[in-house]
Amino acid sequence: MECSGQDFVEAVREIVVSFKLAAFKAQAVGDLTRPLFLKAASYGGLRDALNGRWVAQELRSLRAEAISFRNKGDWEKWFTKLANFSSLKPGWDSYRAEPPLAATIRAAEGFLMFLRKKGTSPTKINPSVVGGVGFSFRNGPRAVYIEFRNTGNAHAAFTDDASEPEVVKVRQDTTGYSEVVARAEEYLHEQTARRDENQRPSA
Amino acid sequence: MSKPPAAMKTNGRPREPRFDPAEHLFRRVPLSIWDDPTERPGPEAVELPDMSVGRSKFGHAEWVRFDVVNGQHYEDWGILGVLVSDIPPRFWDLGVFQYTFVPCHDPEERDYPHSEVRAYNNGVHIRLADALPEDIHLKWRVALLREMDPIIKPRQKVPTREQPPRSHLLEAHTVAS
Repeated sequence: MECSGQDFVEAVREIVVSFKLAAFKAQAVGDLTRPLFLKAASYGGLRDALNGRWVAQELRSLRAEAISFRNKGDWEKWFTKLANFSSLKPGWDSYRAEPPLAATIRAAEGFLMFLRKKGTSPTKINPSVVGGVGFSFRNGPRAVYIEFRNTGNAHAAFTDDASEPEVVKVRQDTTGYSEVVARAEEYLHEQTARRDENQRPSA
Repeated sequence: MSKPPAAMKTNGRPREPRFDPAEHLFRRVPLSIWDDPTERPGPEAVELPDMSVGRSKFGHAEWVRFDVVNGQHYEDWGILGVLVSDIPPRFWDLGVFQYTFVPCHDPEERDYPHSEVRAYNNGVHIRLADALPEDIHLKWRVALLREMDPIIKPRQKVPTREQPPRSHLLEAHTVAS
């Protein structure tokens, strides 16, 4: 079947409209690398657009949105898990563990909200057999464990496979949380940075 | 519920205070905090003071899946083990208070292997968790956890041996297919 001149004009108009919409979207999110955007034309934009690479970009973008949505789900999962600790009964570990007190769960929720705002997700959140809530962060052999106890106090333990663990008290306010999370991130990623440094070829 | 082995009962046997350094201590961990067999539980699984354990001289690792006090059998729970010689022996606080940690045999009528890891402050037994400074408390738990190894992983099916152990050393268990 042959394509009429009118159909061709319609098709081109449709493509132009689609491209414009995509370009506006790219501009809105500050992504100037898309071949659809005029400034990116020198990167072979039109050719990429015509061979369908823009579709791949759109898919990548959709995938990123899906990951962001999933992360949102992760946070909901943590908050739900934390809230469920209130249903634990004394002796929930089959020994003599006390369930976390309501005040302890509230304190842990406050910390979790801080983590969400910062975008630092814990590896695990569990009730503690000593009565409280424990947050774990891990990177390779290093781990940081932050425990909110029913006594009202919170402590952080920094540990690896070799040295004696270090324990510090955590101040339960934004400043205290900022300090301990910054220290935890530094501790957990220090090893990676060192390893990268060691692997870098000498000049 | 599966029945605890008859050999778990004390049957008039005396307390055996001596622990061989090569003996193992076992502790069950709820699935709610140790669910993934490829991972290890965190310090939230370790209790202090008077942490209940079973000792390998008188019981097998899978025996601690029996909670004889409450009549429960946690056949899916994982079991951690630690060598007696690997228990962190002491911590100092401010250079004045010396906290020591030792295993004590504490047999119960239906659970002869039952023991406890107890904490002492300058030789005095600490019974309450809040009698121990919280930083020392957490430090010791983290240090102990580092020495603990998964002996039976969560959801691992292990048939219960009826015969008591032949020695104080850890004896390999079989895993049901």
